Amino acid sequence: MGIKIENLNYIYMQGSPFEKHALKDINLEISDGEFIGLIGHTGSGKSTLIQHLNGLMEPTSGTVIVDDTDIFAKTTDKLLVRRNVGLVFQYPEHQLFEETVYKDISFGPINLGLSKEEIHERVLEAMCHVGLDESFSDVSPFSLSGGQKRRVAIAGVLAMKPSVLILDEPTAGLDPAGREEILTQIKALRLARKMTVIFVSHSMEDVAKIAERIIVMNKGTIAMDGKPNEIFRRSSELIEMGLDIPQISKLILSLRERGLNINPDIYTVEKARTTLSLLISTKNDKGGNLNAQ
Amino acid sequence: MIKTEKVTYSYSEETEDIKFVLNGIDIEIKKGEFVAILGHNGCGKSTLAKLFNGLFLPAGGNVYVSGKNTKSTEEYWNIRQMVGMVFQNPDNQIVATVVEEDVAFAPENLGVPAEEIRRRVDDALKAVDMYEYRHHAPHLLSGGQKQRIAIAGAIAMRPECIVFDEPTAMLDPKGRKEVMAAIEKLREEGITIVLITHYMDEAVKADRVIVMDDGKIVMEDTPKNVFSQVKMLKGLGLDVPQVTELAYLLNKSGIPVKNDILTVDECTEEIMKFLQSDKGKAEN
Repeated sequence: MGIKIENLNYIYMQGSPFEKHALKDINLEISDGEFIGLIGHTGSGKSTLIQHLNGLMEPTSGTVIVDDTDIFAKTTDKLLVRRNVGLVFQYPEHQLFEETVYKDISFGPINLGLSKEEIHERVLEAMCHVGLDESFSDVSPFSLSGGQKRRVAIAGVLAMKPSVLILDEPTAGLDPAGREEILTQIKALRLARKMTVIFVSHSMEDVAKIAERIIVMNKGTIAMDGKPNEIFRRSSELIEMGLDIPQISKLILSLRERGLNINPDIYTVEKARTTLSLLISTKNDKGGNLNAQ
Repeated sequence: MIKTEKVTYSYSEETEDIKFVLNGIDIEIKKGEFVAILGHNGCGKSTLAKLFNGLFLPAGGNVYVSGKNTKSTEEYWNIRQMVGMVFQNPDNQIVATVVEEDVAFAPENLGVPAEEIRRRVDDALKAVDMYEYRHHAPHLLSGGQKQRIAIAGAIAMRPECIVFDEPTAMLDPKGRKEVMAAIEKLREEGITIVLITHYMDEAVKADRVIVMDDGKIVMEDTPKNVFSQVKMLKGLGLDVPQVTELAYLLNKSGIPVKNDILTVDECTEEIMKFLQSDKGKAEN
């Protein structure tokens, strides 16, 4: 399901002394099945933007077209839009409320008026997608660990069977193992369901690990849009925008400043390892040869 | 400053099948030291933090703050005044509607005279670089700013030690930097710091790193010595800084770089050594 954003503008509290132009003429096209990493520091407009994608916020001007439907047209059924575009907020575990995991996840499907069998099927499928087996069904969500709670909350959105999944900072506040788990599951989920995924984060290292396309927002505009390697090679600009780049990108930048001719596209530990070992071993071979002469 | 002896703690009161969250913890934290505590979620590190100022009392063993047992009821308030705490969520720690009133809350409750409160509040706000925001409303500040207000609130009690329980977990990179700068400044002023964190780049700044797993201390050493154990840390569900991991992997590929690299600068130097000194090495 493709998303097209056209000349989108949003102004907070227009006409008041607190007026803020949060989104400025955003034009963006996201194709079906893309895996997008959306980054930007706090206040760059990324949360405002994603809330426009399922009609939670209405633009001051411009519009969003999801699957050929203008979601802000008067005739459009907003409920249908929200069903198609699932939004997982920051700290979604704060939204859990039911007595059992099963009941919490089934809340959405029940409100869709689905049959009992269909609900059952959807809940179990959603649980499976987030790596919770059936034994969790009757457990109170409040007795779970932070990472597990978050997965229950994500399952609640998945049970609505959205074709676009937007996650706002899904790894915030988790420990490294919990972060890794959520990232792996999102990756697998996207393959299994063939969903379009938009992953909002300020952790460049997480985004570098999974996204295929990165959109960088700054001061309400789109500052960069491209493949991860294209984005991370512009590391000094990213730093200027107040973003934290992966440590490996910093290393490559610093090696280049020292005059080393190394590919600026490298942003993962694995890639740095292969490139550097190659560089060092060829250099040493040459040194050895010189010595032999 | 703080000393724990064979401390155990359990959340379940039932006599049968007691599960200990902490299982025999012996730690000594010296005055002026900066100690980082690492461990995955549920390893007991936050529980330990709450034992440091008597918010929790140990089920077994003892915790001493400046030689005073946290179990003694007479020392209760003294101990809490000596060891301040800052938690993860800044929104849960702010009580007043004006920044300076929030910071004044603790000294007011300690019965500090008015002029002294004024002085302490101003000093505390300056220490975290939030003085110019003293008349602002806390809820309109950014996460990093709110967290610095919470830190100022702790400083205004004039504690000798501050325990930070994941103070940057809910902040963006800018907020994290602001809070870490405030913590490092306190360290320079001689305040003892205990920092519980998931961010390895923060732990790297400490004098000593303690790694916990399953209610026990499994590693305890300088950041360099702890982080060079890449395999062990990964096994405990923890991360290492990317450059440390790179050095570890290069070693595995047969390139003998130092394995205790923690920062980008160190890593740059080390790699350049291998790329520049080949001639010198060949002559040797």
